[in-house]
Parts: sequence; structure tokens; C-alpha cells
Amino acid sequence: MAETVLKMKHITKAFPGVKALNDVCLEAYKGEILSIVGENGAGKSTLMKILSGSYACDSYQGEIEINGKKVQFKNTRQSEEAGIAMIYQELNMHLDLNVAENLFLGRWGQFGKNIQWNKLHKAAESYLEMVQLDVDATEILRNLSASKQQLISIARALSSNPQILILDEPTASLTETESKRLFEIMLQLKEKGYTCVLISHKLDEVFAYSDRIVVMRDGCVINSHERSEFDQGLIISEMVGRKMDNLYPKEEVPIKDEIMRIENFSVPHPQNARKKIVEDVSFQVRQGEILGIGGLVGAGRSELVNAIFGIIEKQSGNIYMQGQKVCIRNPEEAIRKGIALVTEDRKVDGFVGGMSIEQNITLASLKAITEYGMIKALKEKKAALRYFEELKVKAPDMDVHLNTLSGGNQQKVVLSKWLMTNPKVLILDEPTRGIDVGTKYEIYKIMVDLARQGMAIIMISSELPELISMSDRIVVLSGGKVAGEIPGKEATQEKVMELATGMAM
Amino acid sequence: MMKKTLAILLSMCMSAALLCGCGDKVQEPAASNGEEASANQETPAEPEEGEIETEQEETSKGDGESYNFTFVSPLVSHEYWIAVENGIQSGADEQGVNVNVLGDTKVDVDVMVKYIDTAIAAQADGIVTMALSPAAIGPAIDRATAAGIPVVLVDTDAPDSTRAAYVGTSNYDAGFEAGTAMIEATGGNAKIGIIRGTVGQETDNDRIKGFEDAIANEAGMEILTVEACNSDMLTGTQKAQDMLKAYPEMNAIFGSEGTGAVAAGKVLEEQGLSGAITVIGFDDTAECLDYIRSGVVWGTIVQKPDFMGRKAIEILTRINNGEEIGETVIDSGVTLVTKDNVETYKEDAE
Amino acid sequence: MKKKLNVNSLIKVGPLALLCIVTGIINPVFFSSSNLIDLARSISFLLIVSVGVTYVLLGASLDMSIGSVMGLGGAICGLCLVNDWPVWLSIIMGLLAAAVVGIVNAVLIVNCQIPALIATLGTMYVARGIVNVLTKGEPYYPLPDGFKAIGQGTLWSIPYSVFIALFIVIIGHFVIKKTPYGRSLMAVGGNREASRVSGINVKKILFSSHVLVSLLAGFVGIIMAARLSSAQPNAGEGWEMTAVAAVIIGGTSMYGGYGSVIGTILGCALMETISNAMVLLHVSVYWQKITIGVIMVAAVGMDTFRLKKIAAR
Repeated sequence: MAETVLKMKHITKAFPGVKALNDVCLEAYKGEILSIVGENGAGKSTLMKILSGSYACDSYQGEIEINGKKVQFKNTRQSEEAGIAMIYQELNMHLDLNVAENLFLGRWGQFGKNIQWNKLHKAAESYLEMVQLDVDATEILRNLSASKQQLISIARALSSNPQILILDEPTASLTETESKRLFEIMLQLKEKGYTCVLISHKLDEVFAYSDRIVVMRDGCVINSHERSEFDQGLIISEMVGRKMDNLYPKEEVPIKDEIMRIENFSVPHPQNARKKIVEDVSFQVRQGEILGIGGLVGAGRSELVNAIFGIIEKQSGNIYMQGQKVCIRNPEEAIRKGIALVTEDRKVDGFVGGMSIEQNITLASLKAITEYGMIKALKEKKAALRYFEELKVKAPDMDVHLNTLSGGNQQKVVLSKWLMTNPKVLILDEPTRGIDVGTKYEIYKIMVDLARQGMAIIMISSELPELISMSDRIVVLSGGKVAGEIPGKEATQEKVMELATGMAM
Repeated sequence: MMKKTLAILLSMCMSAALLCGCGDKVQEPAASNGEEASANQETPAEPEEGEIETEQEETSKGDGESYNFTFVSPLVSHEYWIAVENGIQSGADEQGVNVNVLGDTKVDVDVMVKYIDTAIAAQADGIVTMALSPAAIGPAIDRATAAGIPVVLVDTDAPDSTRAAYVGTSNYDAGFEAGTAMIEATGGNAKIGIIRGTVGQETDNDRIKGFEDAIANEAGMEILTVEACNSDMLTGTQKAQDMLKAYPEMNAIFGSEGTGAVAAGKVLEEQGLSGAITVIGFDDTAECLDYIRSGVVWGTIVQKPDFMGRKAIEILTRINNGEEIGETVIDSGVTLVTKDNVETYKEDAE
Repeated sequence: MKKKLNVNSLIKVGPLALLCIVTGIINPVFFSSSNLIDLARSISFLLIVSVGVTYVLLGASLDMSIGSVMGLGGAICGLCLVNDWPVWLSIIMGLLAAAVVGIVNAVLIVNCQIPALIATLGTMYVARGIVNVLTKGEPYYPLPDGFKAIGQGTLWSIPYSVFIALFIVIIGHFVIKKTPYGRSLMAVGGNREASRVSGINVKKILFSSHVLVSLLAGFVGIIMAARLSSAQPNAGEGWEMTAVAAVIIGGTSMYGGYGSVIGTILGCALMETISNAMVLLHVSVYWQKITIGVIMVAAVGMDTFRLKKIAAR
């Protein structure tokens, strides 16, 4: 067995009313990729925050040893000095500073009192090389793609000369190929003797790249699996605490009449008016059907549905609802025509964080609960409660603010909001991003139920297994155009990727 | 040809300078602008020429020779300063000169300094202003003097500066007059509340100092409190109300600027206390005079803003004409307006 | 839920109650009916305009022009009155002038997308400038008795303005808590994009809140003129800061989406009570500003501390 780099012993951390971690013991060895899996709220993030010093050493019980020496972190800086580097789920970098400045943010001092920019840029380039990133050190971060930004945050972590890298959902905003590249770099780092601790909801990645998997549930470590004994079914059931036969509860439901048809849709590129981000796209969707839209990030999938919903302006194209041509200029009209859209980034435009669950659920249907110009409190409560219970939102009551909920529960509330508008067509843009396995399963279940009730569902997904398993039919976009259409039963990951990358053409 | 080009260029520079200073009011016939500017430029020995001209016909207008003066007002929207401005305008009409008025709607010494510098840049022939804070305005005055632009101060003096002349009653003296009037009105027995403008304003400071010194030797006179109303009428009424509550023994109110006495008057009238409390204020706003007529306010100290303005322009014209001005501190005097002379004091002053 | 709310609002009343009790003990005059009535009148003026400011802040916008709009509303009304227009028509003209500024603000902010701070600073100068041009610095005076009654008349010895403020507060509170408009406004302030996607007409909501605050500011300007028997050219100067401070002390977030009209009442009451107490406690004028600043920071600090404790759960 390789040498033990990190030992966390009997860590217990309590928040008022909740025991977030209960006597957790964890070890990590030199040069391994250790994955920690578990549902949201299992305590993974809390554990990592303790390790990174975000929670000071006096706020929990237990001990941490690094290289056999006991350490105590009062803040993140001390943790960093001890060789731990955290790469956060949300990018916490300055988008308007350049690459080199971001890499050494807060540590510019090492380049002299009057910063010697040449030296700083040189140093930056060496770290960029480590993550195989070919960008100019003086490039402003905002101009780079999400995946490049992610790699830069890893380069930044490396620049503090760590022993242990903690990656919290590093691929959340990356496409398949980008993720693959990231893991290749992780494998190389591992060869160089770095220890990587990975937290991810994407189990396929976890299984493909980890040396060891630790399962957590309800603040406890449930089990630890060596690579040789990985068993997907067992690990999932350990995570959710019950046996799950199938990740994707897809059922066949009768597919009936066409309900919405999109013809010749074109959307101008947001940065370049002469370019089109969506070009001449047509498709239709029927009652009871789940239509998947596949493609790489940047293929124009989100822009397409946002333009359908009237959030952004289209250049040309028509929408037909049940054969009738309709005009949609803003979300208000889209809702009236029976369309609902769960947007890609729920934090940005999915919900109002400072409002309660109840108020968020009714936000898109205020008219339905209004009588004589007044919101009827009772009616509102009743309407919201229906979805609150049907979708099994986990919260003490409906007065809880959305900010305090987990991603999965926030998504359920957003879904509730749209269901309350009684849509004929429900568009879901990355509906399970950043959501734990258990809740994902519940959302799939809801989708199937809705389809059975005769709703037409359009789902955009970058997770190929999800896209393939849940869709009755998949439209793949590439470079803003329809690259092809695959019936759900014939779909494979390879086929979708071929179309998405344009290799089939 | 040269001359014309030069004139156009110069007039453009001048108007640009004025624009920079955001001149709130530019009351200058634009047509004559370029002509004068060029005349100024080409004749460095201009005072002599001016002298000859003005000797011929001092009050005549439109004969191509008139001076451009700038009045930097501390507060363009205030009745008192509008009275000064009116005095300046009538002075300008009498002397046949032009006057630009620069000023803000808030009292701000930095803005005043900025406007004085604007006037210097625009090469005015003279500046009229007031020394809101001598320490701050003084250096600006010195800059103007150094640029050959005479400065006449009105209302408030900056004796240590290089100003050419001062027209006004010192605020200390005016405050002293108010104190004397208060002794007269109350028979030497008064517990006084003072409503001042803004905390830290020197005009107020000096008037209150004068007031205090005037009553210092009277055993029966006592100042209970000083409150600030920020020259805002509503705040003034609220402060007056609060003072009446906090000091039930108070039987006199002194308003050290235009707002205080009127605000107090409103409250006293409302509470049926007219006459029970002796109010003495400053300035002769229409409302204040009405309160004097109805006996709510006992009297008000009027500095002669109109006179100050007229005199200042007269002095500047004379300096520009190269005449001797003799006395550099001109006491404009104050008038105590009470019920007895409220209808006649204006004519008396003429 | 009901219980939780009560505790929260009690904590907010804390600083105000403390101030009242201390002042009352040191100077019993504080609790005299005439002082309380005077205080209520001062609060009522600030409160009316602050209700509007609450709306604007809830929508995550800002209006710096309200002080000037107060001056404009009063001045236009005064101008009509001194020209012998009927009282009702003069009031409508004053309100119209205020509404025009509100519409200009709204167009600049909502349609032209100019940052609210800059746009309303601009209209602040323009509106005050118009007042100065019109009045030439002299107050409109005298004003007819029928008009003065609005600002000076009393019912059961309580000034009309107190009843007017109460009425506006009740309506203002009701609209926020009970109507789709109020709910939409909170949502727009909380997350503008999410609200738009949820089918709320964000532009309409923001537009109306800006017109509303101007109307209320103009209205206060008018009753202020009635109270003072004259339309003062510098009326309302600096009120934008006082009102924003009162609203924020009342717990409304500067970043929108959170707050209440009830909180605004407390904020206004605190601001005016401080100023009243300063005089009654014989605090020297030179110390008053320091004291006001300290009490304001303390009041907001207590609230922030409480919120942090809740968030730390």
C-alpha cells in the first residue's frame, strides 16, 4: 500500500439541529484518485470544507493528520500552506483579470514589491503547460470557454504547490470531450504523485477514473471500494440507502398527435450579429413524447429553446401549436400558449432565491390565484402544496427560502412552478445538472408521469446516458444546425457523438 | 482679417471657459462678446483708454466699451442673494457694464472657488463674491488679483486676502445689532433659543458671536440652546416645535439667518403663542415682513443686499477706470425692521 | 410562522423603543400629547415619500431625484395657486409635474437602460433647476387658506398629513403583500431574469414603481408647501438620502427583493424620533450628527447581526 498522505480521524461537525458529519474517518494515499460519492446533503462538501480550512478547527471535533503530522487549520490559507488545494464547484476567479493574474491572485507578492510581470507570466506559462492549456498568459479570463477556465482553476491550485487536490464537481459545466481531457490531466497528475480527491455526481466518470470510491450518506462513511471491486449497483444502493434497479425509469407511453412544430428557426449570435447561433432548425414534438436534443455545448441548443420561449430574439422561424401558427415575443406569451421552460442555469434565471417555496411555485401563475386583484392566500397555499407534495420537495415547510435548499430541491420547485402553468409542452434544459442520483431518479419519474398524462417534453442534455435512456427520439444539433435525428431505441452514445461532432457528415 | 480670426478664436475660448464652469446664468449679450474680447486683447493699456471713454460718458451704453464683471453667488436660489444679484444688475445698468452670474443652488465653498477660477480663466474685468470661508476663498482671491482682476467682496469679508474692497456690514456687527434689539424688545429679560443655518458656517458663527457679545453684560439674558435647521423651512419648524417642548422656559427666539425666524413664526402662530415669545430674525423675506406686520415676529435685521451689489459694481468700474476708490472697507450698515418701520424702511434707505 | 414574524418585528422595534423610553425618562415632555403629535407629523411627511422609495428599492432600482421632485411638486402647485387657479387643479398640476419626472426616470432606466443612479442624479439636477428657474429663488407666497388647510388642518387635533400617511402606508403594504403586482415587484427585485422568464412584465413593473415614487414625492412636496404656507424653492433638498436611509433602516435591502412597508414605518419613526430626541435631550447641535450616525449604524447593525445569525443556521 502506498504511503498515507492524509488522515481524517473521527470528524464530527454539527450545525444547529443537524449533525452534518458523524464520526467520519477518511484516508488518502499518495498518487491516487479518490472519489467521494453520495447524495446531496450526505456531508461531502462539509468534509471538504473542513479539510480546506473553510470551517475553522475549533468548529468541529476530530483530528486531521498530513504526512503523519497533526495539523489544525484556522483558515484556508493555513490549509493551503499545508499542501491542500481546493478547486471549487463554482468558479471563483476574476473574469476581468488575465490568466496569469488569476493564477497567482493573492500571491502576487512573490514577484517583488513592484510586480515583475515578466516573471509572473513565465511562471504562469509553466503551470499552464502542466494542464496542457495553450492560452496566452495575458488573455482575459472572460474570453475563454468554461472548460479552459476550469483548467486554469486547476493550474491555479497547482501553483500553490499542493500534495492534495480537491475537485468539487469539476465537470459540471463541461462537455463530454472537455471532461475527458480534464481526467487525462488528472491521471497525469496522479502519475506525478499528486493525490486527487474528486467529488462528482457523474458516476460514469467516477467509475472510469477512480482508484478508490468512498460512499457517504447522512454524514457517515458507509463503505470504501477498491477499483478491483467496483460494483455500480451496490455503490448506488449504498448512496441512496435503498436498492435501485434502474437509473432511468423510462416507460413506453402512447405517443399521440403533434402538439408543437418549429419551422426554420434561426437565432442571431449574441456576440456577432452577422453569425447565426441557430440556423434553420425545424422539428416537431407530440403528445406523450420525450424529445431529446443533443449536441455539444455551443451547438445552439439552449439558444434554440430560449428563442422559442421568447427570452431571446429570433431572426426568423415559425412556431405552430396544434397546427395553429402562434406568435411568441416574450415569456409571458409563451406561457399563455402552453409552453414551459426549465432553464439551463436555475440560479441565474430559474428561481428567486430570497422568496419562499410557495411564492416561487406560484410565480408564473399569479393570475390563477388572484381574485378581484388580490392574491388569495388560501388558494395559493393549496395550489403550491399540491406540487410541493407531488414532487416530494424536501423542506420543513413551504415558507423556506429557495436559497437554503439543495440543488435538487430547487430544481423540483422550479419544475413545480412550470407544472402549475399547465403546459402542453415542457422544455427542460439540462434538468439534472448538479443534482444527486436520488433526486435525478425522481425527476425522471416525474417526466415519465407527465408524458403519460399527454404532455410533450423536450429535454436538452449533455449527459449522453440520460439523453439516450429517456428520449423517444433525439434531435442532434451541431454548429446551430440539425445534424440528424435518431429514434430513441436505436440511439447509442457513439451515434449521438458522431452527429454532434459532425463526423458522420 | 487677422483681427477677426483672433476675435472669433478668443470668443470661442471664453464661451468654452464659461461652459466649463457650468455657468448657471449667463446674462451677457453674446453678440458683443467677440468684439470686446478682441479689444481687450489688442490694447494692453486698456485702463487708460477706458478712463478716457468713461470720462466722456460714464453711463452711456452701447458705445462699444463696457466691462465684463462676474458675480460668484454662494446660493443662487436664495432670496437674500437674489437681492444682492438684483443690486448688482441695477448697478450694472447704471454703470453700463455686463455681469455674469455664476453660482450653485447649494452652499458649497469648493464650488465657489471653482467659479472664481472660471472667472479668472475667462479673464473677467472684475469679480464680485462673498468670503463664505475666508480661509478657502482667500487664495482664490489672491489668484485673481495676481491675474490683474480686482475682487470686491460683499456681505462677508476676508480681510487678510488681497481683495480690492469690501462692502457690507460685518456679520459680527449685524449679530450685535440683533442682540441689542433683543435686549430692547424683552426689556433685558430673555431666555433665548437660537435657530441657525448650517453647523460650521462662518456667517452664522459671526452673527451668533456678535449676538452673544451684545447680551453678555445683561444679567437677565441667557442663551438656552442653539439648533441647526440647514436653511430648510420644514426642518426649521420641526426644530422650533422641539425647542418649545424641550425648554418650556424659553421666551425668545433668534434666527441667525433667513429661515429661522419665519419657521419659528409659523409654529408660534399655529400654537397660539404669537407675541408670547419674542422672535428676532435676519433678512426681509416677504413672509418675514408679514409676520412682523401681524406681530408674530418682533423684528428682523436687514443687511442691505441691494446696496452692497450696486456699490460693488460701482467700485469695480472705478478700479477698471483707474480711479481712486479711497476707503476699501465700506460699511453698508444694517436696518432693524420692526412693526414701526416695516412699511417705510425701504424708502428710508433710498 | 405567525410567531416567528412577531419576534422578528419586535426585534426591529427594539432600538426605537429604547430611544423613546430613554428620552421619555430623561425628559417626560417627550410623551406629552403635543410632542407626540408634532412627531407624528414629522414622521408622516418622511413616511409618504419613503413608501415610494421602498417600492423602488424592492424592485432593485434607485431614485435620487425625489428631493428635487418634492420641490418641483410644491413649486408647480404654488405657481398655480398664486395665479389664482383652484386648489384641486393646482394640486393635480403639481402631481402631473412630478409624474412627468417619474416617467422620464422610468424611460431612462427601463427603456434606455441607463443605470438608475446616474439617470436619477441627472433628473435630480434638472428638476431642481426647473424649480429655480420658475421661482427665481423666492418662495411662492402667500397661498390660499383652503390650500393651507391640507397641511395645517387637524382632525381630533391630529394633523391631516398623519391620516394621509396612514392611508398610503396601508395601501402600500396591502399592494405588496396581497396583489400580483406586489409579488411581481418582489420577484423582479429578487431576480430580474428569473422573473422575466416566469412571464412577469419586468419593464412594466419597474416603470410603474418609478412613476409611483415620483408621484408620492410630488405629493409630499405639495402638502409640505401647505404646511409651510409657502412653496419653498429648496424644499426637499437632501431628502433622497434621508428617505433611503429610513427605508434601509427599516430592513429593506438595497439590492432589492427583500423588505416591507411596515419596516419603513419603523425606519422613518426612528429617523424622526432621533432628531426630536436630540433637542429634547439638550444634545448640543455640534454633537447631533455624530449621534444620529451612531444610532443609524447601530440600528442597521443589530438587524444585520440578527440576519447573520439566522443565515448561520
